[in-house]
Amino acid sequence: MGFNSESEVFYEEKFKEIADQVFVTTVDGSHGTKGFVTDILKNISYSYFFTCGPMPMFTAIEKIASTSGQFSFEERMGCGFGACMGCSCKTKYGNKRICKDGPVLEREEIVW
Amino acid sequence: MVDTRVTLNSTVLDNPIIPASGTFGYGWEFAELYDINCLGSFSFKGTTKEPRFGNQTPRIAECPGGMLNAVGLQNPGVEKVISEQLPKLRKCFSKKVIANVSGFCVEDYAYTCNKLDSQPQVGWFEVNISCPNVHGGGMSFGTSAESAFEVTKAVKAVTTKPVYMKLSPNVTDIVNIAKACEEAGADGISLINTLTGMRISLKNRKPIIANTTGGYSGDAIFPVALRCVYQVYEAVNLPIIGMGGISSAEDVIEMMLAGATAVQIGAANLINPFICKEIIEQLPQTMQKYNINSLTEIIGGAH
Repeated sequence: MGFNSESEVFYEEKFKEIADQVFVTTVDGSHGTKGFVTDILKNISYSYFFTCGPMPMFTAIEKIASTSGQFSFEERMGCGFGACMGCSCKTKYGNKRICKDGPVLEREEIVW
Repeated sequence: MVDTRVTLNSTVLDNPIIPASGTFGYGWEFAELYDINCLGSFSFKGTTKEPRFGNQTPRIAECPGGMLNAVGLQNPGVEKVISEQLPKLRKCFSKKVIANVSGFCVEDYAYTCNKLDSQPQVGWFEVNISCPNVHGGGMSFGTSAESAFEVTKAVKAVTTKPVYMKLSPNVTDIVNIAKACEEAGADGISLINTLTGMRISLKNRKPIIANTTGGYSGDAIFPVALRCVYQVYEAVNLPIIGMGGISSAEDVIEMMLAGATAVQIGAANLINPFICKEIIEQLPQTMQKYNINSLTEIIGGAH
């Protein structure tokens, strides 16, 4: 889990309830490891990943991830139910709407 | 019993409520939510000769009283609309549909309309010469009387069904453009498309929409749309489909008093996907409230 600083950290306890290990990073180093989630990711072993967050984080993860995984996208939407084509994205299997066909896409189908 | 029927060219609509192009997909998406046969008709997603992905995202920005969009005519292309979308629509909509068509040169418009003309489901054409979100096409045809004339003429030459020209409010004189369409043989006028606008993010000091500008639609543009319909009604002798910011049965009546024979509902569908159905249900009691027996009688009633 990555945050800017300690004051923004949330759900750490909830994640600890369901995970063997939880790593927290903060950009200013006020809590957990100083840096970004990718600074942790490149040093641990895993068999699959699930991620949500901003695009710059996604592109950083895409560069270093060593397994398959899923990305949960964010996009500005007009309707939120598939009608307006406001949140379209290109995938290897054609155009998808983040609101209706997503928001979670497999790493292998995403066109970066 | 009040009469909500109106006649668009020679086709009788059960009511004048028509979801606007770009806010209703190819119809079947909304059929998952309610029986869309209650609609007067609907105008399908703007279709072009070739498939288009459209603009980069973000394509949407919020605004007071409405929204900005710059989708950029995303559509699967006319071949796939005919082979995939229309058969899907046939299963959930038994009435005639308005084929909304856009292009990047006069020949594109003619090609696409000609392909769709043979489709029995298509009742009318709505030729979009007013899309503000594509470059080298769309609105550039609707901002001069000469090119509006040219597109109208070309489409009329290759079609048998009524042709409505969809006009832009982003012009110095919309009446002039409407007259050019009439002169070229148009069977009706559809107005208005969105107003060109933009938003800038204070955080990164850049335009929010990837296309820089987008089309402003929603409640806020209703008075502009009403004014355009009123002016065009005075100047041309063609049926008008009025749209822009309509979100209630009262708005429908007001737009018809300005001169619209039928109306389209756009941005309101994105806020409330049931809005067209709700307006249709509310129309009879709203008509009674204002002593209207037949909607047809009030068309242009404010003149």
